Amino acid sequence: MSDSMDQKKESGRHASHRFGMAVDLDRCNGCGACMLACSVENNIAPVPEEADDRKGITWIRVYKASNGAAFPEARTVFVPVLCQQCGHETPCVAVCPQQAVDVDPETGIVGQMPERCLGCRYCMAACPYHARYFNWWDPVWPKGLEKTLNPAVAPRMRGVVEKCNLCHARLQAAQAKAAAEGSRDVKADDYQPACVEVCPTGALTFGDLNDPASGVSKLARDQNSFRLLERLGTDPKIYYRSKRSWVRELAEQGLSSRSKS
Amino acid sequence: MKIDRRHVLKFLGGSALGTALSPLPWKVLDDVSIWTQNWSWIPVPPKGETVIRHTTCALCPAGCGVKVRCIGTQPVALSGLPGHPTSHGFLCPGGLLGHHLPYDPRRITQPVRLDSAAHQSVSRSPEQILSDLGKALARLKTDASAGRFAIIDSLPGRSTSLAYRQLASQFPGGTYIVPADGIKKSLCVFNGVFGAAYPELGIDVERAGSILSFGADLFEGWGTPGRLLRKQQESDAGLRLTQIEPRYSNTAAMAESWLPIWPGTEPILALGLAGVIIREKAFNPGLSPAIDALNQISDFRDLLAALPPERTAEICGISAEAISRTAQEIAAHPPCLALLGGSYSGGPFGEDDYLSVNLLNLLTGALGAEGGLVPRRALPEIDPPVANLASPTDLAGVPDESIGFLMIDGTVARQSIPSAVLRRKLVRDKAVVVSFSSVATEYADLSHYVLPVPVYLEAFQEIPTAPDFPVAAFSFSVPLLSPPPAATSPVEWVNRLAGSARLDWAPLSTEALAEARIKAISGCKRGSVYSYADGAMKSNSDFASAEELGKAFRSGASWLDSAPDPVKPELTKLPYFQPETWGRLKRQVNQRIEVRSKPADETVTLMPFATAFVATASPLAGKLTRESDLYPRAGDALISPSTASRLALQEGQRAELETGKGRLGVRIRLNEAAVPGTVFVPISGSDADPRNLCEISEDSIWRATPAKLRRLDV
Repeated sequence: MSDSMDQKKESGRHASHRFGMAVDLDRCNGCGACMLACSVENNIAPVPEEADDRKGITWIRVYKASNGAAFPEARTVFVPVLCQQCGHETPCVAVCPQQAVDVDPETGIVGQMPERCLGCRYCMAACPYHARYFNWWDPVWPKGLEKTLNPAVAPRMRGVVEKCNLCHARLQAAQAKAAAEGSRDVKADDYQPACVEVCPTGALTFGDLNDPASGVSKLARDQNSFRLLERLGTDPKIYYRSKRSWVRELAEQGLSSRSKS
Repeated sequence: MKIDRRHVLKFLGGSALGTALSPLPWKVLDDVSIWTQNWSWIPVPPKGETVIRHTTCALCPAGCGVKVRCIGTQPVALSGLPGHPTSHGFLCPGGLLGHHLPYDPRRITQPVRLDSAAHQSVSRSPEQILSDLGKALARLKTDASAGRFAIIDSLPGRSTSLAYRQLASQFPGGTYIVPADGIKKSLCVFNGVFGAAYPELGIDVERAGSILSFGADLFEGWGTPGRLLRKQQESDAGLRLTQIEPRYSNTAAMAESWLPIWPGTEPILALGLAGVIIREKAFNPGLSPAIDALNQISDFRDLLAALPPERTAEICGISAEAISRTAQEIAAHPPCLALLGGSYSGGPFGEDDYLSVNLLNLLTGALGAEGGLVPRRALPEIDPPVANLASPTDLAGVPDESIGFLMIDGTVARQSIPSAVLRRKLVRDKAVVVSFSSVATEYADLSHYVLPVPVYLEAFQEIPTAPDFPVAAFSFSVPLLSPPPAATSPVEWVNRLAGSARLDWAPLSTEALAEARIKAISGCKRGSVYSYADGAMKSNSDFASAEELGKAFRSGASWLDSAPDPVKPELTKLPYFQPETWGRLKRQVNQRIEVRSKPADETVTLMPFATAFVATASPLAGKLTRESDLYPRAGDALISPSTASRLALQEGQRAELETGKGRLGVRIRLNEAAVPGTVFVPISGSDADPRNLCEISEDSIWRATPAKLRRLDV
């Protein structure tokens, strides 16, 4: 196997930073603020009335999953699912014929370049977390609402795939600020993704997994922490945590028992 | 040289190779890529300088602090203020999309005359509309058969409210109606118990020992949501929250325990829990004389004796063991806050329901204690006071078919009262209904006229104390955008209407009333002021003048009153010590038991419920409903699989819900955590409001209603 393929396999594993997130499922109250803040920050367009959960675009989506029990033992957990920022054999990177997906060697963040995207959706098929979304429609905002768009993020066109990039525009702004202050390095404390900023329950923690003292590292090491579909060996950088055993067991089932309402 | 076929092929091959090796094709490819992603219909966000501004959210009474990221003067993102003393950084999903409201496609820019039957607007100039309304108002003064004037204030306590009250006082029988907020109604049980200096009560939720919630949507819009969330984050012991609710709501999911109760039996459970606490002498020791006094009332003794845990369990659908355990737990972690309802539009309970539940607050020593229900001063009054003010009235106190002219301030809490409840109060076929709103769809099935008003971020709005907050608080929502030319403040509309009706009226101004309020706050010298920009807390007395304080308010600030000295409640003033209260409660409990004991046949119990966080006009709200399964959509009907099986219904099927009040088309959604025999329908704010299907009792309460649910064959 060539060196480049090896690099592709180990993409982001040896990055100077490993920006990731810890999600405390026992704190998430399913309000959806993260989904909306993400849409506002990243200019994710509303989709037509006929769109459903399969054709909609939500870079972070909060699923409602149940324990499968009947009344009155039925219980629900809210699971925010975003791009898991895979660090090993990143499936979307491996299959993209356009080099439209890459892993930033500085941060370990899996980036998506819609300008290069062909719209073949191989990456969507390859992603085991269903965290990638296809633009089935042109981005259209009601008249006047386009004035409220974030100028730091370009709206994507119909026919390309997009996904969470841990608020790349915010990272760029932090890099610019660091550069202006004479530093080349951006630390996790310098910026926060929009979802983390607005989470009212503090369920989301963002930080550098390479820094053992960071909050996210501590949470990742917690005995109740787990990652989704860990058996696939994709080394995700999104950690989940719950004291409830049935919730932890869901991680290996791929949220297949998620509730419909 | 002879040019043969080989030369041509060589030339073409060489050209192709040469071109491929030159930058030309790659440049073309690059340009085409860029060109195909920059179609004229794909918006290019305007660039500009990023400016951070601050305001207070005016979309509900909570008044959360807001950080506004603007590009130039245009708000592009809203977020909470972490240091804000009441909201603690919280901003709900609806609040996060507040900057989309000015661009609502349904926005009206001129006064509109509606034909409510035909659901369309009627061509009429603004001058003609004002003239029509002026004549209708003038008729109320001379013609007794025209009915009374009434105005509904969606956010009472503002200076704007003074204008409404003054207008109502101009008419014989003029009524100023305050919507039945669940929190305020609950606290009304204890009105006057702390003396005239403390006319209101607040809820000290941060220091509560435990919380017993009877369906209060604590994590879905109740009160000031940031307070509970902060307590949850900071408390190692958790909230000690028990949620008693027929539906496994988001609040139930966050609670330590969930007790699924049969709808409508909440007061019976409260009395059953009170019985356990009294029998086991687990009440607050200081209450022994009060309990002795209560035990002298025969109806009180009989009622509690008739509700042992086993019997209560039978009625409420909760195990006797869970009832005893819950009673012991709340007694062990005083003060326990017993909270009933509170949803802004999910429907209020009856006065007797609040009495039953608040008995638990009394028994665990929550009344007047830290972590309980605490006395609160009112906002400092404007000086000189505005003369001739109509007193606030509950809608239940307005006789049916008595209102001839109804004004609805729909600027804050949208659709807080169902149309069906309001329609009962109107003089049949003659009443005129006017709504102050930014869209023509607000109460569209009821309104004859809609007068356009500025929306949040366009309007200068006072934010008075939130219903649950333990001390008086005040802030402004300041305008960051210009409203459409015809959209003026409700106070300005009131002035114009009063002029058109030729009333004896001195015009009021929102700004002048707000200035007077600032002067009053400055004059009281109490409390402290939190500045949004720098997060500094400054004493009110440190502001040299009212002008300086006003300046702080306009750039983003909140005033918080100081906590009053401890006051002892005068328990003898409470209705619990009047024997007739218990006679009434006994009759009501017996009625509920009778309803509950009816056998279930083809009927289900209809339970409307509010989804306050997604009640926004932004198209992005669809991300939470259509593009995910996080919130139910308008027209969804949640039922348990066992109920679905009994009624031969399946997931996703179209069905019809029918009550004595009408029919509603719904889509079946199976929910394992719904109490069997009930159907939960979200309140959508549209014409298909499930509350309009509910039976409305004498006291204007709408809640659990028997309904038929059958499959629609397509």
